[in-house]
Amino acid sequence: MPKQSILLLEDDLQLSDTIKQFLDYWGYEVYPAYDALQARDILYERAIDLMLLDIKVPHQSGFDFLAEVRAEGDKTPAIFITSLNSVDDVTKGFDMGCDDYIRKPFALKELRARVDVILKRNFGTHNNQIDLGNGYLFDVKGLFLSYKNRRVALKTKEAKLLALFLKNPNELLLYERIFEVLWEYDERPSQGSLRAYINTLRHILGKSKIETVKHMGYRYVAE
Amino acid sequence: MLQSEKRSLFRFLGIYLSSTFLLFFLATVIFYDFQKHQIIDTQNRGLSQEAERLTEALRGLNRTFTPSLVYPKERHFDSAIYNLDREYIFGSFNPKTIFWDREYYQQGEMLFYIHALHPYYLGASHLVIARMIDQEPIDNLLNMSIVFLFVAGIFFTVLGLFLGRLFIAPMKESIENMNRFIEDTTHEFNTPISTILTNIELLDTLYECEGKQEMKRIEIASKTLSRLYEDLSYLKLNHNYHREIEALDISQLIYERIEYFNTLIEAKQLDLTLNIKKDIVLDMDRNDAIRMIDNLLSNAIKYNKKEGILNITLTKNRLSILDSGVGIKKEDIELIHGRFKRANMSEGGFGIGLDIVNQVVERYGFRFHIISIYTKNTEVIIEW
Repeated sequence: MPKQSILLLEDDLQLSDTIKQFLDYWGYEVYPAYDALQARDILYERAIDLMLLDIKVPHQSGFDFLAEVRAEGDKTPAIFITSLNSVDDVTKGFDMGCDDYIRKPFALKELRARVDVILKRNFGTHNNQIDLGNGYLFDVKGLFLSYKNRRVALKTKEAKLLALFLKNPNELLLYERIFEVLWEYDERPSQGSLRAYINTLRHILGKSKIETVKHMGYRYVAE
Repeated sequence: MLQSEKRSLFRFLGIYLSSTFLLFFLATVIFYDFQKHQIIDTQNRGLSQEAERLTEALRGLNRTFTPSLVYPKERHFDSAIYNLDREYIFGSFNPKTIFWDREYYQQGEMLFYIHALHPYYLGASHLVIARMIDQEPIDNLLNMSIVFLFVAGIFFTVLGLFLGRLFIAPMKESIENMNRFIEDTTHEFNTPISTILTNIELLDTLYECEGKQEMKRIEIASKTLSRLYEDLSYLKLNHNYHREIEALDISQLIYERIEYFNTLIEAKQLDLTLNIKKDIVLDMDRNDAIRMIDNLLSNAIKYNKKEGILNITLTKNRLSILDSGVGIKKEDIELIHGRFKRANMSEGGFGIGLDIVNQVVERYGFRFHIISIYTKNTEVIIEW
């Protein structure tokens, strides 16, 4: 089963472990980075759904890190973890393209609430589920498909692909982009497997929902 | 420059300048007096020279035996001759009183010189000669002294300011260093406090934990630490912290803060009575409001006795927090009220809590009262 992936940039090992443990428990995949360079590496290697960024970290501040990431056209949502001392900088943060911030010391519950809001926003919804028509519901938190309150068995990559389509409705998704999201950086993407996943999804959603754009990629058609 | 720095600079300047001025003023007065005497002495010497000339003229008169004696009058001074009995014989003037016991003296604007004639000519034994004091050199002297005092004053004020800054510089530097140190350290507090609080939360969520009581205590202690940290950074940043004034639901916020303090209230087994009117809205920065409410609640809990009472009342224009704690002595209440009026709680003695309440109250123009019976209870009221 695929999980929502979160990049956690926090240089304090204890706090980082705590946040990771908490978010793991609630079913997120957390990739911890202890400095800006590690964070860059993770961002290159994985498809990340959300970044949690501390500001005072080695090599580069969280601000500069986000500014660079945004300058490269990456729109992955970001939440800053800040202290009161840098509340003024938060305006700066928003200008740089962060989506929310949370002040230290914070309650984990609050962190989770904010994370959930942003992750749902990735799917353009405030609800926990997206109605796919013909009785299918997609759970945006757990990234699984259900039919009449029963989970539909999907392969991890299939679920990832479905999530990718739902996040980018009516948008042409190039092969490259799909490969990047579905396959880990050390795996070998395969066109054949992708076609199989597409077929599975077409079978569930209806044939016309996923269009093939020749030699380029696929498009999910939402009404 | 800080308030305290300004104050000590002004004190230093005050003492330094007033003592220097006093010294210079005295010196100038003495100098002026001395110079004035010199001038008058010179003028006196002039008079005695005139007297010599006059005597010479009288002697001439005595010798010639001309039938008509013409008294030698001069234009720029007056003179008169007197007989042995000090009776007026003749002269160009006739002063009413003459101080015969002195040789030189000054009366009004006039300088007098009494010259004994020897031998007596024409029955005259004394010649009194007088002239107006020449005021010009004295005026010049006075002007010069004033200008000198003035220039010296400016010079010493400038020097004083310079010296004052010079003396304050190391003090200022160490204050700045200390501030930076506090800022850095408090910043470092942040992460470990977060770690403690989040892990208590984790333990609570993930495990059925034995020893809940111990956990509560750790939680209370770290929340206290956390609040201290927030207070410190609030005080540190108070002036340059960017406020977002919003229509704040105070009723809602008070419930939230009480929830936050719940562990502390339970630990002290306080009898909590809430009388909170709904939908009370104030235009405030959220953090300002939190700091104010937290500090009031924290004091009311901290100084309360075990199983005491805690009444929180919110109406349209006032917030009242009543505790059954140690109470405050009458003179201390006056002291607190006085400091609130002067907006100066930083002198200490009442903790940073009241200082923060004071700053918030001041900023939003609220009114602050304490009603307390020593050893019985304390009611703190904020009105807007």
